[in-house]
Amino acid sequence: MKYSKNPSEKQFIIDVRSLSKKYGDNFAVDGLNLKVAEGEIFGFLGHNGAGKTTTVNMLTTLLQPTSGGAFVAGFDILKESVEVRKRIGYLPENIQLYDSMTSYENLEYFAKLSGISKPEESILQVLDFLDAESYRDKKISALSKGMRQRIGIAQAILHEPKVLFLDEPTSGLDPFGVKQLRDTLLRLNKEQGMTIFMNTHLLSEVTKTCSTIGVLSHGKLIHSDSLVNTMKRFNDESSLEQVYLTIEEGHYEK
Amino acid sequence: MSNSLVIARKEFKDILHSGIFLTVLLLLLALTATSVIVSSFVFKSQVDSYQSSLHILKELGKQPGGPQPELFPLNLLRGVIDYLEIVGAILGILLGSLTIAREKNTQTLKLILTRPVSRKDLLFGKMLGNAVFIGIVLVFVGSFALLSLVFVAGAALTLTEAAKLLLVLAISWIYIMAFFSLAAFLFLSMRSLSNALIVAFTIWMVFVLILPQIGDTMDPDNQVPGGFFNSIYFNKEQEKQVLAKFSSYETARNFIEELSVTKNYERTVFALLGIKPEFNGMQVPDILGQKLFDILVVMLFFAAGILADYSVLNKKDILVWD
Repeated sequence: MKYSKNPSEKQFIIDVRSLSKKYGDNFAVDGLNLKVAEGEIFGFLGHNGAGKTTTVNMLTTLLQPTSGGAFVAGFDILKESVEVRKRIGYLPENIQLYDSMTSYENLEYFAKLSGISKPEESILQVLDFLDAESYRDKKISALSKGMRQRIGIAQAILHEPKVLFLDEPTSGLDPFGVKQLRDTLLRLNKEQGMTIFMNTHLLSEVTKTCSTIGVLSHGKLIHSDSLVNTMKRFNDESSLEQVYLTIEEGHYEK
Repeated sequence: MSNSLVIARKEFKDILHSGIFLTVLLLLLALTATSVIVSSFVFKSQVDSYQSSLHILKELGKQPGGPQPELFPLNLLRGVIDYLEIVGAILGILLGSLTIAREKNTQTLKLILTRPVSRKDLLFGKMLGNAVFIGIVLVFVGSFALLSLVFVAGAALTLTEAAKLLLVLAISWIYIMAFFSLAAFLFLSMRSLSNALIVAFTIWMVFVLILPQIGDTMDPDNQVPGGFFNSIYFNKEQEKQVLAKFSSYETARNFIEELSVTKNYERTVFALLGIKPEFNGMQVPDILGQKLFDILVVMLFFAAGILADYSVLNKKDILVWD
């Protein structure tokens, strides 16, 4: 195992080092340094255009950084991208999957591309875990947004990744769907020890789900700590929303 | 099963399930049927007419004076080639655009690329699935044409003619795949899918319609309405006098035609089918030798498309934007 370690031997499954992405003259991500410990649920917060999705795109090997780098599950995203991809699951925002195929066919396709030798077994296990067996033979086009999201999660965890990247997973979900998603993520984290890296705007969900948060503003990380420490540090504030706004405003004042 | 084969299999199933492509296939078959069957009837009537003339001569106790007319059944496929030039290129563009556009719209391209799948596997898989489909369409068209020749026209193809037909299908496959790879490149590299479609069809219009049409219009052999010399009321003799003073005319016309991959394709297959009379009776290697440049252009167009697709797929940033 090549996870980077800090002096106290805590394992960091995501280790981002001076990561930057520049489009023209603008930095979408600017010298980002970030560490996420194994087994955490990390909430990555920030305003629209802060660079959250760009960061996830680079960590999932979809985008080439302009400079800097990162290790995910101990592997270099630049030099060992295939190894990284074997160990991550990814759910982009507003995933649609293949409409004309059933849930099972979608999952089978991604299982094969993930190199799973017995796709059927894995698919049934995942559908059972997500309580989604009844969707098995339904076409994706016939599923509601919430159901589709569950199949999206299923494709992301089929190969039992070490890190699950989610980009605005609650986007477009009704309260029931949001709760289901939260329960699923908590179970994945608790029962399988999966590290979850989640871009989100929904601060109420962060307080219920995440153990650690990071706040990105204009491509720069302006805060990163455990949720408990963050709330303690801003003990005058009544909610995470207030804390978040204080952090953001403080950054702007700088 | 390798990743390429997994992708190819899904690609092929997607196309089969898609109503659009069934429509294109039926359209192509209907056009082939119309063209070949009509030509076959004309061919058959020519044969019947010759036979009946022979019969009359024999009854009169005379022998035919001239040599027996030579009939080349592959000539009857000219109409099919005209359709393949146009509809085949559209089919290639539709397949190439949809194979990328669908994945981009549904974000599934991102999912595939976060799996341990190399971009080479992705490209090869997509090309393979579509290549098999195009191959099947062409086999259908070829078989249909062959059956019409045999059963409607009553023409028996020689082994050489059958080989020529197979070569025509192979070159047609490369021609359609060239448009497939061109469209895939545009849809991979352009951010706006609608702009990519506009560019793809503009290129189609220039290559398939405009350049060949300019070449045909300028063709000195083309003394038909719409032909350049016919339009300015010059007869063949006057045309020859004019052309004698403009030695570069034919070079310019040829150059314009060579700019169109469709014309290169057409010249090759017309030669193989014997539509230009000088190629009738010529052996296959000789025809291929004479048309080597045109064949190479079609193949290079396809190869350039694959290379462009591959290079754009390797530029990671092109595939992802938010």
